[in-house]
Amino acid sequence: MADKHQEAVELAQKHYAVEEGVKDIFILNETAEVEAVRGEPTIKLLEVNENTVPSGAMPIQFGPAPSSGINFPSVIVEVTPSEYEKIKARELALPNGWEIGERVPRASNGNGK
Amino acid sequence: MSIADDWALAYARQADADFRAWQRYEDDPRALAAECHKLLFLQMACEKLCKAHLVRAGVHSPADVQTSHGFVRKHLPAILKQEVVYARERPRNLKWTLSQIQHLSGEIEILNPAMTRDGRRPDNCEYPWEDGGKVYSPLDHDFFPARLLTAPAGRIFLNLLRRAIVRNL
Repeated sequence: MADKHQEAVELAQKHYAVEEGVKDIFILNETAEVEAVRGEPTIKLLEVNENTVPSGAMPIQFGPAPSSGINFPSVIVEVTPSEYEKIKARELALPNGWEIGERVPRASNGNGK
Repeated sequence: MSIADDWALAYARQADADFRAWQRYEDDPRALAAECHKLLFLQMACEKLCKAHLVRAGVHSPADVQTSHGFVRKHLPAILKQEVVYARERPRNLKWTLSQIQHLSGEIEILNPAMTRDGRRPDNCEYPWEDGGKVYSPLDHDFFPARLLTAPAGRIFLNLLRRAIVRNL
């Protein structure tokens, strides 16, 4: 059976590997109520990317891609480093019921693999 | 399927139709009245693809997404990057390719007349505009994306865009 947390970590490493501008990735957690509304387990990542443009915390969702080893839907929130600081300072809000969880550090070989 | 999924599919289908219209002009230049029309379809395809991914997340209401623009520069690079993640092979010179995708996404976004970067980029592929006391027509304008799309990174961009649209259908 697929493990959502493990796949979240693997997806984060793939994103690190593809783009150098991604400086940090965090798993986003949802309250049980929000997750119940969503109705299906979903990987959610907050990506701090110095190459993105500032626009607030706007999630985009992707469907599962089993042939690429991603068995869950995934939601990505890309923010600039400055926006990330604002989220930490509670000056910029994540969607209701979402909070920053575990940090996924870039794998030690540096390319995310 | 949730209502958000229904909206996402509807946007993706529109994106697909817009992209196929662009492709039709690409394949048969004689059918093309003006280059700006072709780019208009490409811009609309990109915008609707971004909206499909936004509404699927269920955070922003379809009404908010419907009436807003400006998603392409922000979200299209992330969507196409995900296609790179899905692919078995990565483009050669990935860093350069991603930087070109970022640049192209920004240029495609401003093809929409609603996106002017605070008046600094009035050029668009739909309506005439005035700049420095002179009136310009999209019919005569040399749009940057039209040139970049023929370069290797541009072909990769189109390939990833097509795959991203199809994945949402």
